[in-house]
Amino acid sequence: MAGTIGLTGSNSARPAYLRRDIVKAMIDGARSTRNLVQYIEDIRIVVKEEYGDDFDAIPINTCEAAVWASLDTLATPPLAGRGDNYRTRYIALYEAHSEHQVGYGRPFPPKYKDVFSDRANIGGELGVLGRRLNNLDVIITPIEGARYEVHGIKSFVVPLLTTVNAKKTAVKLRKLIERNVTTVSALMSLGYDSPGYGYGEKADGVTSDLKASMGELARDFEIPYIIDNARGIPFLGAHPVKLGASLVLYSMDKVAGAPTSGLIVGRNEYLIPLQRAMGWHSERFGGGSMTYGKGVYAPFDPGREAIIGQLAALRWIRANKKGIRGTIDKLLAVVKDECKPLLKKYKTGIVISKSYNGGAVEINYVDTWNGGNVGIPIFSTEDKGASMNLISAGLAVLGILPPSPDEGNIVMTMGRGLLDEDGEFLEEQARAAVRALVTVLMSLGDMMQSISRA
Amino acid sequence: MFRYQMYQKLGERKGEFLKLVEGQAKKVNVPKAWQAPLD
Repeated sequence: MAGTIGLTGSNSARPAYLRRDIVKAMIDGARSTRNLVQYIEDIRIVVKEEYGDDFDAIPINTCEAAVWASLDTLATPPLAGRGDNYRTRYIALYEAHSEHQVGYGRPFPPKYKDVFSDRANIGGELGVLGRRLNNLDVIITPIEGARYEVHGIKSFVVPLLTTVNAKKTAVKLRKLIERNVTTVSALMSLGYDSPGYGYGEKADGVTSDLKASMGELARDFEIPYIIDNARGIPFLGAHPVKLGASLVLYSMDKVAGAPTSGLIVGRNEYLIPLQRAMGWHSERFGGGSMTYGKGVYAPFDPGREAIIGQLAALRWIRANKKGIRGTIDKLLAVVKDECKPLLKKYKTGIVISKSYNGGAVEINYVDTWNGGNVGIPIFSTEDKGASMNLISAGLAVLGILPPSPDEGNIVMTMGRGLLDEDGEFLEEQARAAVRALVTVLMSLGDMMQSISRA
Repeated sequence: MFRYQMYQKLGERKGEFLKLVEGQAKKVNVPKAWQAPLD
């Protein structure tokens, strides 16, 4: 679908427009004789200026490549040397978007072996080989307090995460690691911080308790904790020190406003092997040592314009944190205003929140089903693949590019037409887009209730 | 009616739902100029 305005800048298939300053930096850089190594150095320096010298960065071509390279480098067993290989397993939460960060090992326990089959993880021979890394298992861990109910026109288990209990989950994870202590090689979770993703509990009001406890576990057991913060903005949230993260992975072309590229931010001890895997210790451009040469993941190296645009975006984010937060606050005000009819109809069960980390405003409606009520239909991720998510379909009819309205959680980010060329918020367009979303949700809720009474 | 049956019925009524939404386009008032063709 291709609309002019939309509610998502966080889907790589429908990226938001690049700002004028980013485009200019890319054009200027493309006509410069400056070596790419120098741009990469600049990216490392921006990250070190933010987090200190114990941290470093690697630009990469996509966030998915970052997930793959990170797990393959840090969590799979070594291939070299005599003798049979052993197996390792990483522990991942059974959470939203699991087909990404949870999809790289053979699922354990076996009841999950088919869990992502409709999401293209095991869609054919290359699908099998591609997503599952060598001798790596993934222990899929239901989150304490979460509900795993069946919803959707294409019925599937949907994680409902507004009631997650971080403390109990941490206790469960510790037991799980102790039981598998000889084989557990990493912990993995999403990087988001909103209630709809199960990360709403924050003792300090900023840092997700669940993620911070995973960071503590990683430190206690001396294993890496990898955070997939694809739809996140560097420097605004998911602080690696506060979270105890080893690596935080970004898709920079989503809300971060860069051209198509990924970014790995992490502690030096984990970045060094990753830099080697990316080929930084060989030469390709004929100068310097930080180039993407003959490492195993050289195919994941980012292109010239991507590196230059990413650097411009990172610098812009560091210099404009206040302005970015202000824009998110403006979107929140619009959403709250336009959602009044929804809040009037559903007295409880609608949770509206903002996330600076995600550059997002979230509407979660899973609790409209509480107390035996018939709520707004919750669409499974499998519905998306089958084109049966009627929120997306309804918005398309109204000419609005939809956000990702899966699993009862709608995450709105600065999509096409919500920001002008200089990154200024376009309120009129945002209002129209949110009004369209509310209209679709109200209509769906009405239809479901009428069906239930028939 | 069980939940899965409601979703089945909703799936069957997809066309009707989209027509209903189309009828509400005026209420939403998204200017035509903003609506690129959807593919």
